Amino acid sequence: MSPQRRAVLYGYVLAAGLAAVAPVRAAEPPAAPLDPGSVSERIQQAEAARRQAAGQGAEWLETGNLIESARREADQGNWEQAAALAERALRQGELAVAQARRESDAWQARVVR
Amino acid sequence: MSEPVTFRLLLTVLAAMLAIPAQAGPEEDREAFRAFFFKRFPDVPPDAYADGIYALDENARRQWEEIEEFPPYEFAVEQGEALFSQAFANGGRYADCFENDGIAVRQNYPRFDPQRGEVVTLELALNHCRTANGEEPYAYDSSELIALSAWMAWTSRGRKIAVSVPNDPRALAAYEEGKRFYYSKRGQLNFACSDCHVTSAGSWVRADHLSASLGHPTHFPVYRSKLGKMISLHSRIYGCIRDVRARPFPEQSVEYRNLEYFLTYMSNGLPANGPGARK
Repeated sequence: MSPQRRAVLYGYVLAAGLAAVAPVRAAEPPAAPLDPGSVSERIQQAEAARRQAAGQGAEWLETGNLIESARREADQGNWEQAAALAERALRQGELAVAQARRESDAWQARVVR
Repeated sequence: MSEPVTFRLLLTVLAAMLAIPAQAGPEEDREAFRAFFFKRFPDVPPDAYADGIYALDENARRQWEEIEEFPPYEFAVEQGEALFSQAFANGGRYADCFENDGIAVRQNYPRFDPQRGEVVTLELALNHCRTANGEEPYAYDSSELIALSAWMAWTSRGRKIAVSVPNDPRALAAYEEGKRFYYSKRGQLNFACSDCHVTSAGSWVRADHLSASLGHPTHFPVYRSKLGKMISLHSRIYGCIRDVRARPFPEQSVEYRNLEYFLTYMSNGLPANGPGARK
């Protein structure tokens, strides 16, 4: 088989492969609607993490606003937006707590001696 | 005691000594702090650090010297003098609340108050004076309180900063808390005060240079051109904390008072030169 014919053949095989996968992806069932209870729980977890960080004087600037925005979206039934905002707030709260834990010792290495 | 036991004991003591980092006292901290900047910027005269960034940035210094010909803080000094000389409704005066009638005492603040068991800044002392005389305290960002602070700073110009950490474990704890705050990373940007004002002092940050922490508190309150008004040291710290995307503490919070205590102790021996003018 000449190189040109081989390239054309490979092209057909690749196209056929992609065509076979595409319908499968398209046929995936739509994501289940978010459970309002789980979103509220996520917001509470974010608020708990924020409070823990604040208790250590380590709260980040926008965590509280993210939680407020998540609550507003949840009140309006915008569950996806609320869940996304709560996830960001939770992540920030957890990172702030981890930062405070790390800095409880790490700061001493920066002292000018 | 047998020889192996003695040897083991010696090893244990040695290990313990190595495991516990030596805790330097305030004076050792101050000497090391000064030495760091003197080595980093050998051409800058020690007293020039009281000028903040203008000690490190020659071009900005020339602009600042022009501004100082008609100082924008003069109105605050005049307002502060007038307020300071007014008697309270009960006949008391600000002068009664301070040593030397409140003249040329700025350089001794913040100070540790053994009765209250906490660090008292000049602004806090002014409000204590008001409440002790039956007056409402001023808001910490009020033009009146900043003007009073500006006037008192003016009367201390040229005096050496002389903050003390008395032999009181509570005072030392407050100093250590301020030091811990200063060197701790915080906020979404994960910055410590020292990251900008020790490690990167003199470096560019966007279109400006970062100032050295040595001398930071000597010239407050300051007139900030970009805001068009006088601000306190705590207001400036608030801005820094917000800029690293951490939730700031309120002005005159215990966190900022302890930080001011540590920072000002580091600047002991520099001339008090407030109020100041900054971009």
